[in-house]
Amino acid sequence: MTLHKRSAIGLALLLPIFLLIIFVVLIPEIWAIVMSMANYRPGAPITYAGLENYQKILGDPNFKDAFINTIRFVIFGVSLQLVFGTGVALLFSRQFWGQKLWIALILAPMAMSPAILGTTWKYLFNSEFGPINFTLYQMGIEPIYWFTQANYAFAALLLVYTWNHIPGVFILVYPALISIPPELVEAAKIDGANKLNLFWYVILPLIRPALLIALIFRTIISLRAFGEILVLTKGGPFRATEVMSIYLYKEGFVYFSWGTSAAVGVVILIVTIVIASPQIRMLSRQMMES
Amino acid sequence: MLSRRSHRLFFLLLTVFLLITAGALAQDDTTEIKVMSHPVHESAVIGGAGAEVDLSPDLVEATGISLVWETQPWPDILERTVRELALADSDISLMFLISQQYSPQVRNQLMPLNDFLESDPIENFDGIAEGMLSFVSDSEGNIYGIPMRAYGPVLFYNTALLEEAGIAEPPSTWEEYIADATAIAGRRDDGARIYGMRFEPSSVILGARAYGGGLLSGDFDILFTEEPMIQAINEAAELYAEGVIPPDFMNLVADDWLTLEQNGQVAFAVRGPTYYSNLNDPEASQVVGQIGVTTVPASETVDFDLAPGNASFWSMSIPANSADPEAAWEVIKFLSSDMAATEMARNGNAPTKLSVYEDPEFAEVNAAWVDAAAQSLLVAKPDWPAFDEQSRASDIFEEQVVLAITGQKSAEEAMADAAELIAPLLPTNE
Amino acid sequence: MTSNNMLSKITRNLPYWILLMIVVLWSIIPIYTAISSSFKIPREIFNYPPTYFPAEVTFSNFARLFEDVPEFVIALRNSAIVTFFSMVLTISVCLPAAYTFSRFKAPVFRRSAIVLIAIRMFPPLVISVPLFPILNEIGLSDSHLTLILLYTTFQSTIITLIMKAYIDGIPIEIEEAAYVDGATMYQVFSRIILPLSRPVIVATAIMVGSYAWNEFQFGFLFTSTNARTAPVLIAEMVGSLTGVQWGNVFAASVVQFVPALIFLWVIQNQLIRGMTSGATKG
Repeated sequence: MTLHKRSAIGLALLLPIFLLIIFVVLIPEIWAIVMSMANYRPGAPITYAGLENYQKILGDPNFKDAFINTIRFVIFGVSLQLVFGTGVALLFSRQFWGQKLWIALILAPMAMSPAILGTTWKYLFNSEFGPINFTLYQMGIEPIYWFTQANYAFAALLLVYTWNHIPGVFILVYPALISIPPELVEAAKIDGANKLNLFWYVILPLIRPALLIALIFRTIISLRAFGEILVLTKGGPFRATEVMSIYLYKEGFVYFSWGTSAAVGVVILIVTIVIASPQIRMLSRQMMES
Repeated sequence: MLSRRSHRLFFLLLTVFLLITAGALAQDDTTEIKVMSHPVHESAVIGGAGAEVDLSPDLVEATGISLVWETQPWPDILERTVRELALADSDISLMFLISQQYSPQVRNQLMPLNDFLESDPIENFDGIAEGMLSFVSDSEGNIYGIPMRAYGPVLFYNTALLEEAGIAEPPSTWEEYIADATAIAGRRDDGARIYGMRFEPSSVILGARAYGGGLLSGDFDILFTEEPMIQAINEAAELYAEGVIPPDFMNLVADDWLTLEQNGQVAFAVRGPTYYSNLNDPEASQVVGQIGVTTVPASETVDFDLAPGNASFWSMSIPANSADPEAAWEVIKFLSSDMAATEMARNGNAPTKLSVYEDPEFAEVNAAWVDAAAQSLLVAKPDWPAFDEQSRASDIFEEQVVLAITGQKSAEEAMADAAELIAPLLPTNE
Repeated sequence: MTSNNMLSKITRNLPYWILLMIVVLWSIIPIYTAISSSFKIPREIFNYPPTYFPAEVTFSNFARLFEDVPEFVIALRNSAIVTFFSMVLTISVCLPAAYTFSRFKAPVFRRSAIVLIAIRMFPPLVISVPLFPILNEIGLSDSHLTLILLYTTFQSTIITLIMKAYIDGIPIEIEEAAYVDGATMYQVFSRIILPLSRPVIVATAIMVGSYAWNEFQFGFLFTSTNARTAPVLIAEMVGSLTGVQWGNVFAASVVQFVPALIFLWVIQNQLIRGMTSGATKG
């Protein structure tokens, strides 16, 4: 087989996946840029707007808040997911009787739809008859109106989101942990390392690549969080949990201002590219070297 | 990797999936049409929620059409209907929209009904209360909806809670109403909270009207920066501080309130008179037989007796993308007939035809609320007029109201900020 | 092991077991809530104080669910259709691509892999607004095909990378021997790669399947009454004739997530073993 022909076959095998990406992602993306420069509302004539939509959103204090909320949400959310995900993985690195069942149970959140998680947690957090407030009441704590005060709402949202995504970290860190050769750990113990030292100097360096990948994926996925927030808080109260994706949704599908909504999309895209580009480079190097 | 048993399980699941899929594809379509509405319209037509008449067999007999209902709660129904209208093709043939939705933008996505009305008129069209059609028409005389349900809100009160607090009579002034609600609020023996009144951010509009003010004038002039609204907001802030209204009132939606009311945790509720049947539904309610109905009183400082409530006013419209406009018109015609209007009223629908109110049987069956409802309808008007950016304006207004009520801003500041943000969204006066 | 030995082992491990139980209980709170509430009489769901076990186990919620919400069956059917075809399409698109990335070393392929990875970073929501009018224009709004294409595209990168990692592990010598025996590339692919890749195909199919089965965002934005999936309907079900019918909502939730839990059980080993090369859901 000539090299030329071989390349042609390779490209042909890649054709379907690239066709999908071109038609489903790239063309709408370009269309988003076009739309962002128009006054575009369903049921109304489309007119050219220049950069008006961008001026509108960048001048909107709510958009600035949404931007800050997004950053806050990602930093806190990802840290919590990483800490707890790693913690749970460490716990499971001891073998327990019934290990497979326990792991299945802690992975269960992965199998649930954001829609169902949202509705169920909404019930649990209900201020009038929800089990969480009842438990607090029995402990002598006044009921907390979770989705009323900005900080509580944000905390509740972080809790739910972390809960849902701990398994995502676990499935990356746990395999790295159990592949650590036991001899290394034994040797460190013989050298008199305590548990903290053992974790810090032996285990952590060995699981760092897995943690790094987890960090990348969790960041990108947290940046686009939508379903849980929509079902749980709709961005409220006082837009305290309104991240950029919710802002975009409201512009596009509540106020039906498609021009500004597309402009928000373009901004989100730029932010994502900025945050993700070092990670893309690192990831692609890793993928390609294997 | 995976064990053989797992593989077998996987392929078994796959087969089940395939069977479901195949079975589904074999299903044939019937001649039904889909209707999108709030649940109250469904219960008006088919009964349920304590109501009794099912009109659907009559509909099938008269028109050969059966309805499939797509319902969404308030306020989700608002964005859901507009999203459906934006589709090029829709499975929905008929839609129920509320008056403030008939903005120019939405009207563009509806069919004018004039041709239908001319070639195939509905029975006793002139019997529809005058003035209603103006909400669903444009300046050129195109009619986009046939009014189906309209009411002014009435004041429901929980007689058991009033008695417990030693209050014998429902309030006759706005001031009494606030005082009674404050007196009743507290905690029940089992720890459950009792609230003085149903309160949503938009409730301050009613308060402002009780004090002789309002939100916007008919010409889109801003009224909410004036004294009556400020007074209403300050009053609400006090109620909030004293726990008369729930700390999370801004998050409670209509259905949450209904649940609280049905649980007997709310003393007063301003809502549509037809919810009388929901509150007396033994399946869902713990306050059956304890609910009284009266009108919403105005302040003693003004020279009128009733506070003009938010007129809820729904019409039937045919989307421009309707799957079956002709069938939709048949259904509109049927539901607008005098017979159907009367029957739906028996199901707790608030009728738009005056003839129904004059029907002695209707008055007798609904004696509990019909007087209050009739008085209230005379003074009620929609909170918001229809314009393209109405939903955004209403969100901004309510956000500022909540900021003021929760003490993060003064009422004056909040309303000034709201005015600044809302003014550019209003249609320019011509 | 003697009983004495065992006892000391248990006491030594006790703190860890307690910790394990806390973690496990914590993880299943919402699932437990949904399941136990689905067997409660609706009034009890709102009971104050709340009950942890149903006072009286009833199946009436499930019976009423299918009576009150006939659309739920259609929504389940839509979910099944979308899930099945997303699985099939993803596998048939990604396996050839993965094979190319694994076996073809020309620079052009490396570069296209990087494009794939970059595309994965695009937030799905950003395309939703422009997609809405486009779908209207081409008559694909509210259709199964739209969801299938969206789900396939947004899963294709990660699935391709997982498959590539797997195919990398298949010794190339087997293929070389086949070529020496005069096999064509098609034969090598269908007789060697395909059968040897069966485990990764099953595992990735389940990953795509559970994503498509649970996906909410696209389903919520791009379907109406025709192609609406089960999660979307459940989120919408919080409005009905007489306030929120939590009994129905919980029953529907249980019906929806039980298949997903079974999927998870099947795929679990695969998920936690040897997929350090970046396997994750998203």
